[in-house]
Amino acid sequence: MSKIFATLFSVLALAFGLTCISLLTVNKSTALQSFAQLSTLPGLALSVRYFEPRNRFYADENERFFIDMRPISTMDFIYAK
Amino acid sequence: MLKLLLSLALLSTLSFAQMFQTVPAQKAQLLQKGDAKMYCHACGMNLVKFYKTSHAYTKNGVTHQYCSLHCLVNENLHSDLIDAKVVDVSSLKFINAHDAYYVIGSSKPGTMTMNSKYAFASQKDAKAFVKANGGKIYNFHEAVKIATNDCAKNNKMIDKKRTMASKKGAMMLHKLCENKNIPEFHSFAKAKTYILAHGNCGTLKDKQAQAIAIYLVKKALPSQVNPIVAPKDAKCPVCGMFVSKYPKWIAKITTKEHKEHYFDGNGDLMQFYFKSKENLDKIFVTDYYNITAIPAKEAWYVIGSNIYGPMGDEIISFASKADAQRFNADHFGKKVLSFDEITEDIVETLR
Amino acid sequence: MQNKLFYNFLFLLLLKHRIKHISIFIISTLIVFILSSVVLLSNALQEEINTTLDSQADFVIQKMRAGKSVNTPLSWSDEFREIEGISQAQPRVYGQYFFKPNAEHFTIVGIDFFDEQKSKNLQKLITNLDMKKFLEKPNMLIGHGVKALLDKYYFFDYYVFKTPHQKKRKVNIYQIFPKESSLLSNDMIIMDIDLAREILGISEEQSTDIALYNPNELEAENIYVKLVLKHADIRVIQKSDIAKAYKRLFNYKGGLFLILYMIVLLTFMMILYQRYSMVQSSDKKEIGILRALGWSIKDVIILKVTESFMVAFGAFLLGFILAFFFVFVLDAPLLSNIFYGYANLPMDISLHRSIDFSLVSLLFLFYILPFMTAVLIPSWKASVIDPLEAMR
Repeated sequence: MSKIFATLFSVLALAFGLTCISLLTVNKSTALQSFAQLSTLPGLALSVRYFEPRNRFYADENERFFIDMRPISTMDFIYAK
Repeated sequence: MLKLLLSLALLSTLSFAQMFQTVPAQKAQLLQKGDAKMYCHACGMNLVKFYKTSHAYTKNGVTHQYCSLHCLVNENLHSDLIDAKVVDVSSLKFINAHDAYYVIGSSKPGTMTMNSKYAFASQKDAKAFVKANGGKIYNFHEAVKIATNDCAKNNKMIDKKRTMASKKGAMMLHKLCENKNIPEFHSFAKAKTYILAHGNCGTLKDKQAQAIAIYLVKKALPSQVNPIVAPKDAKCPVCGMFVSKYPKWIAKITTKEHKEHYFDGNGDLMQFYFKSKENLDKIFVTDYYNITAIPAKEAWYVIGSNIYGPMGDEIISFASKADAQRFNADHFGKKVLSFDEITEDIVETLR
Repeated sequence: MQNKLFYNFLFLLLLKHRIKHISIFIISTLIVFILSSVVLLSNALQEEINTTLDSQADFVIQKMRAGKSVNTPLSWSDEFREIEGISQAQPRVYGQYFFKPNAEHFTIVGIDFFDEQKSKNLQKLITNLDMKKFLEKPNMLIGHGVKALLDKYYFFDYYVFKTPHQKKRKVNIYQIFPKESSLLSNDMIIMDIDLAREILGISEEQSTDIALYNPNELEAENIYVKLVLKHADIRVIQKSDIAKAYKRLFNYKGGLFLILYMIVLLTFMMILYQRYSMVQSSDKKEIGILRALGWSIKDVIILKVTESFMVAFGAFLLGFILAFFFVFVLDAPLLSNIFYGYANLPMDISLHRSIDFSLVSLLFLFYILPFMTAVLIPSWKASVIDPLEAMR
């Protein structure tokens, strides 16, 4: 009976081992850091920003640092309702 | 009609991209002669680009043209400048500088200076300019006096800029130019003319040629100043703490037997110094502002400030006296001292 | 031998009750999978962003007008260079370019290719970059997202930008940035600073903003005050502000998962309760029989605890491995949409494998411990009473 369990366990152990191996062997890429030093911009790519104004065309990009502040160029906070 | 509109549009785009000082090339008067007539005699900058602040001066029958009052004054310190000419901003023609009205300190950017100086033939134009851009009206004599006073400050700023440009120029020469054996130069203008004519650099922009010229004249790049790096296991011989954790405070002594001691602050260094004065070879401390190694005996020190090191009250070191005095004022320091002025008593009070 | 018999019996028992265990196993695996994939993803993203923070400027200076930032005059950088403690003042030129056909934005960044540090980093990113060839003609380096979008509109080798003055500027695509950098470079275009000025309409005596570097952070506050006092219309952004913004970004995104966490917690409690009542009712009889056969209380408890530990540990391991595979091999489909924005170009990130072990072990502890207690207590209760009563 324990044969089933032995196989189950070995499969689990194998998967765990593979995970560990992939964690250790895939070496750290410095591409991101090099790029950050190249552009010197702190912001993530626009695609990763979480604050997405409804009308991108009027978005004030510089608000990316003050993310609590509504960009003054989106006037919906004045014209709401 | 369409043509006119198009040319107007083109003109407006051109004027937008340009700096205030720049004028169209055909409107610029060049009084100099020779290959390098396009460039400022002192700094090699493009005269058309900085035409509105241009000056000319005839000495011993030879006319030199300068991009700014600063360059003119800096090249001819303590001379009477009788034959000086300046560009009138309104008409773009050279006029006698002694009859000109100088507007100083306007919001328009200056050339080679933070304090912009523009000259006008008529007082009316000058007043209109002041109304639009601010500033004050002076005559030539006063303007020269102001420029002379600003000279040291401007030179410091220009020096910093040139150091940066020189680094870039070296790289440009290496990466862009095929002509590798270039003779030595002492004038920026000549170097620039040469590199544009014989450098084989492809199409260089004026800015790039200027950077290369600065490199060719200055050549000697300031050697890279590095911070003191302590080995990971180095302990301070006075207090026994690990030094490498405090890179801002590291000081280093090399003894005559080539033994290296690292300290986590100048206070500890001084204690060690007074204990074994004779046996020491080289002493380095860290500059507070730039975190670079400086020779301790040439450094300046501030005591009693509100900045604390890893051992509490600290003697803080600076590369120059001006820096130390500035820090002293900013951080409520008690005294600015040179290395020799630090006594055992002072070190003792810090403990 | 004793041990072997014990485990044999244990496995038999597990197999016998497999229907009961399998439901718990699947639900537990799912819970662990969801929780740990969120933890892994947000941690990996955070880690990647923190590595970029080190290379940021200590201060960023912007000129403000009517609450909006406008172009900064270059003369400011000369002014700031004079402040003690500032080692470098770098005017930066960057901005957004609106790509009309698709109503998306590119970020155009102009860099000085003759800056020592920059050219070194460029060499690391783009192998065998010939500077002379690159600068001879208008060339650009683009991110993966930009490349995909331009391909869609059949711009394979070049794109024609329109400057603010209605002039057309054809710029060739020189190379594409490696995918690992796409967290920053996805919609970025890098070109020569003068070309960027032309396309963005920034005049030669202005820049978008100014980056200042200050080697000694003890001086940062002092410099900050000096900077703020220099001009009335200045905005000074400190490096710590950016760090804070990042932290908030992740807290916000993580907050979205609070609801998820709560549901997961509820499910977990139900599992615990089910486990508890199972041991209480059906296993009670079994424990009574074992006790009547002469098993000690200790042995019974060990049997029950090992039995459920195997289920729980197996579920945890499987859930975690699945989460690892999901996040790092499949690049977290669906889940990543919550973490990344989706208004601009579609994101295609390959995350670097990094695990915060303290978080994982915390997850393990908070999962396994209640699970064990939910078994331990009822089985102890059942085993201490008289076997006859338990069997009844």
